[in-house]
Amino acid sequence: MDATRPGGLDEVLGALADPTRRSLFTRLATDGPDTATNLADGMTVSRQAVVKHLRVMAGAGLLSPERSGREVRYRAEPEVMDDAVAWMVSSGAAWDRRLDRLRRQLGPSSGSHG
Amino acid sequence: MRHDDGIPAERVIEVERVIELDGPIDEVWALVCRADLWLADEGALGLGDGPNAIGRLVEGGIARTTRLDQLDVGRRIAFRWWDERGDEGDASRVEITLVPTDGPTHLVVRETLPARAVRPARTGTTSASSNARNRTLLGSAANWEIRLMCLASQVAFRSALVLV
Repeated sequence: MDATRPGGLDEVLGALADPTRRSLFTRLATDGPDTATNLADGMTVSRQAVVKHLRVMAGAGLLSPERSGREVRYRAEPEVMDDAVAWMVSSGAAWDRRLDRLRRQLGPSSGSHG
Repeated sequence: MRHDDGIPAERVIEVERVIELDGPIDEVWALVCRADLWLADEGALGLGDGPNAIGRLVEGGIARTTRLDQLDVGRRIAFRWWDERGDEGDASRVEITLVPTDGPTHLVVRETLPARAVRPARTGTTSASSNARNRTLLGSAANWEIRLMCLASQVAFRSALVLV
């Protein structure tokens, strides 16, 4: 396994560590594919900065660039995170089961939060 | 980002749970140490075997090898565990911490998995069963918010579950 390969989770997490990139990704995943020009409209950062952010995410496999006339449209690809989320779901469910077992050992009066 | 011990941290995904247990911390600790009563169907962590103790836990037919990382008696157990047929390099780390309060004892469990141990789904390295599991768990791409919330913000997954 090569952790530096595009689309590797480490790279995906790195790409999402930046709040501007997260907000761009959120917009693309919510509203569908769009261009850097449209995305920069209404943002406090320049179009050039937006292009840079989009390229980082595309490099990590989070976005797919698509040619659209003279511009490039970026499409969100959240599936690159699926295996990580699946691990969190199954591991979380396993801990819920184990903690239930532990609580039962102590008696019925113990409560839970979280 | 660095851990307390000065070792550079690697990117991890994590699951955290916090529960309240009615009972004095000593009593809770004694139970927590009995891995066969709650952590697994059978086996032990080898808590009496010193640092780096190797143990074995079987849960639901899956056998895991464990390696003790930290034992702070009465307060914390930390260990790595991995499928005994697999590689220690893909191990996740479990930290079980007891926090005394004026009332109930709080138990915090945190399991972290190195990001590099996660095979990206789209490269085709994931097994067919894992892909099938993902489809069941995640449904359509409409659940992307959950993925993003889990991974980007590194929040505890229990918060994300609220969105499902």
